[in-house]
Amino acid sequence: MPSNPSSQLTLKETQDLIKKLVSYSGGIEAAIEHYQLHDLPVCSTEKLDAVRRLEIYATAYFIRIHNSLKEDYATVHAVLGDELFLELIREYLNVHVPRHFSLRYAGKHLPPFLKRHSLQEQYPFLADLAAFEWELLEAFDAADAVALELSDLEACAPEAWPNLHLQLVPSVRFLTAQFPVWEIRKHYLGSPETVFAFERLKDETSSIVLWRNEYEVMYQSLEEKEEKLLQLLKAGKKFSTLCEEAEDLIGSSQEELLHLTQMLAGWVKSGLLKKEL
Amino acid sequence: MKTADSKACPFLSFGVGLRTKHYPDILEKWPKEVDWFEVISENFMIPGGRPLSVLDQIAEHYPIVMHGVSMSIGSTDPLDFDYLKKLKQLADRCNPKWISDHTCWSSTGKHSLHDLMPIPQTEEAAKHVIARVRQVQDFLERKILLENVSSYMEYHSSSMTEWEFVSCIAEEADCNILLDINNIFVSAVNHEFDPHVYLNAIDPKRVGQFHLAGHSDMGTHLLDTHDHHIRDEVWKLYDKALERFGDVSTLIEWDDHIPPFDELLLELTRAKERYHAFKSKQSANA
Repeated sequence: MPSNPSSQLTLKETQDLIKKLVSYSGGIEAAIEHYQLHDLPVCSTEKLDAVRRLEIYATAYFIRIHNSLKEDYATVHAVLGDELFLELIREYLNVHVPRHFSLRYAGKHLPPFLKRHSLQEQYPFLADLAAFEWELLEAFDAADAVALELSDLEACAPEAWPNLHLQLVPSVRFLTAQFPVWEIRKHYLGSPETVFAFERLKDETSSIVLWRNEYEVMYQSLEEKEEKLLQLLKAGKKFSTLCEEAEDLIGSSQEELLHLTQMLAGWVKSGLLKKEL
Repeated sequence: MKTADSKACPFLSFGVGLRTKHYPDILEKWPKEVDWFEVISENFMIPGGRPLSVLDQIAEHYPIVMHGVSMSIGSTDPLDFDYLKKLKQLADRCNPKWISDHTCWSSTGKHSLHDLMPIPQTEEAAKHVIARVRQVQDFLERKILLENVSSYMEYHSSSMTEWEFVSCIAEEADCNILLDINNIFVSAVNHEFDPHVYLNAIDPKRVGQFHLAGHSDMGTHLLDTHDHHIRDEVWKLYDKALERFGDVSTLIEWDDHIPPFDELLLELTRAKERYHAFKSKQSANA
């Protein structure tokens, strides 16, 4: 802490001190005690002393971030309720202060933070649920792309197919979850007033793909084989490599080839693939 | 009273802040009552998705103005050129009439408080801000407008008044001022000064835009909540601002407990009525 009287603090010293005070999780009075301050850089008036004035900023700091995260993690909030969620965000901000210029990214680290949090004991699906909600946000404002249509594929000459580079739209996200968290989200979006029977959730790892089709964020759970094939596309592999891998994964019989064709048609219809080939 | 050739910015008439809740009203009705929209820059500094598509559509029908909250012009951290690059990209996309932010700091030590913190009104701070505004304007290749913030604290170190500080920065950095009438009123009550002295100290040539908004009375202080109708005292101060600054683009801000679009339009009508009353008085005097 700077030792000079508050009226002589440099601009940088003043800003550092104010930041420490207003972001201290225990409040301004606790911060003053913690940093052993005898002199505040802020003026008191008869109407409002310096501590109360700083408290206005301290409250705004916490409330603004809390409200933003409450919106971003609406289902996590619905599961925990106001009090627990508030406490969670207080703890989270002690570890992860906002670094990005936009509030939109203040909650970026909440899913991994929850993984190591004691709340996981009572709600073992919580980190998965938070990760799911975060990826929904990421897909919502990911870069735009025009989706591939079946007619684009039909227009491709047969000899061009092996070298085709089918690309995923930029909003595609993959997520591995131990619990079917979309069920919890669906429940709270549909009937938030009723309690979800968490005990009936099965602990069963599944893969989810999330993406945005035009302006609607979509998601679906994936079988392992389908996920592997989509991951190959994400890695930029050409169509011939995809076919080789598919042969190993699902076989090369007529029926299995039909399955691959249907899978490909499904990706196109869902808007998972980009128009550029 | 300034003349037409001394305008800091063109007179766009009366606008409102673009908020998600009102997208359907705007996209379905294309309201003629609104002359222009102000967008919060950071809400659109994203890779893609619906918000940007809505902005593209609205920018085809109305003049747009970009208003930022994260430039942190008064911070002692280095200027965030990643932020400025994204700001410029957005400006290239929506072709705003101008870009504004606040006379404040919001981050230090790479820790963003996501708030508009007042800057100590010292010579050191003024020099610091002036140099940064020049850098920003060079980078963006345009003049910016800086808005006066509502504040709840003053620093022992301050050696000038807020209006002296704001004026000094505008003059020395050659930038313009977004005068928030509600913020002047809120700060005047919180720090016990006469808001008319503030208005009268600002050079009309520098004022490019007005903000009007509602605030909350917390008993010991006023809070700039943007969640109410504009209070009578602020309307009266707006009348005084019109007398001093004349035709300045006026915007209604409403950010919390956002009302239905029609209710927001009523507030806009109130601003227009005050403006027309001022114009009638001006004609009568002429």
